[in-house]
Amino acid sequence: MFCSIKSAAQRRFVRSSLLSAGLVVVLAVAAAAAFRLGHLKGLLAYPVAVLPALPIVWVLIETGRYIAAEKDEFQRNLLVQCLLVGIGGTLATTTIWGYMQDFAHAPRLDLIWIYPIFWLFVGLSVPVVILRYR
Amino acid sequence: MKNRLKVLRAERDWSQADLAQRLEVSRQSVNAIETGKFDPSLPLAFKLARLFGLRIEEIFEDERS
Amino acid sequence: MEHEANSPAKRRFTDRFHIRVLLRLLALALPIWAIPQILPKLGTAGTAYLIASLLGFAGLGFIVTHGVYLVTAKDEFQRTVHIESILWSIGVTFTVTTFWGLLETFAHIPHLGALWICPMFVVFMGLAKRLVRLRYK
Repeated sequence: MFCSIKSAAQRRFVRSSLLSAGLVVVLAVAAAAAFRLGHLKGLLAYPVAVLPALPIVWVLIETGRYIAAEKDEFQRNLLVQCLLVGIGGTLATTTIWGYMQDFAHAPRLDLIWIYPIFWLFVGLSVPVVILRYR
Repeated sequence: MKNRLKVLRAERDWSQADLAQRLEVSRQSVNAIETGKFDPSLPLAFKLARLFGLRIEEIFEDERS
Repeated sequence: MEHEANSPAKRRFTDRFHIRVLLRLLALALPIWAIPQILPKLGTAGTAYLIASLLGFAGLGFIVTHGVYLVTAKDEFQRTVHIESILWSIGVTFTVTTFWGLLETFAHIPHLGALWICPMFVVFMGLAKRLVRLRYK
């Protein structure tokens, strides 16, 4: 995953991630249309609202499965390090932004952005983590 | 990974806590290694081997062989 | 009164102690000097952001402590358990934030402040740790 796709576990992970990303877009557009154009209200609003979350949860599960299935312990170690940096960066961002929200009336951080922020930090950490082992 | 840690410990009359102290790890670590649920890293495996005066292969069973 | 031998280790410790004391004095003195110079130029909004972000950095202590622990922990099993709990907590936390975020955006449920994310993560991590330990028993 850090150089090229080598194992079956990696292939499966990349495939599910791409499929899931596509599904998120489709379901998010569908949900948005249902609310903005269809003016969806009442009990049906809740399950429709969370539809785009399902492929996101699927990716989280697939990430866990990949970590468990990856036989190359060094590759696994690299991914885990990136995920740890990702969560550290995300929690740092939400903590600082949270204080700025409460005390300095900074713009609201919508919860929906937390997950993409995590993957942004993971992505940023990849070259740093790899450089450690050159 | 299967291993002979429990036997080796018993021969020296060491509790898990005693072994943990000698290895500078926690008792839970010793238990997890002994029950085969956690594989030690190379440095820790070498530490174990040195402690018992044996080779790593004499303590840990290579499942493939 | 007996004096301890002045060993190299003791000298190293004393030197490091003096360095730490100096650094602490600097950390105190610098803001005391800097704040009156910088604050008037910021304006009220800027000051508010600065103070809020300083509070935020203080809140980062938790993250830094964990990072240091993960890097320096000698017991690799405990570190493995800790990392597994973090990974499980990542999964659960982001599931919750994604569901809540979507319900916030589309179904207009009350907003969850960003400050709650870290405590939520810590709670899930604590719960995960119990379950992970059980797995290794």
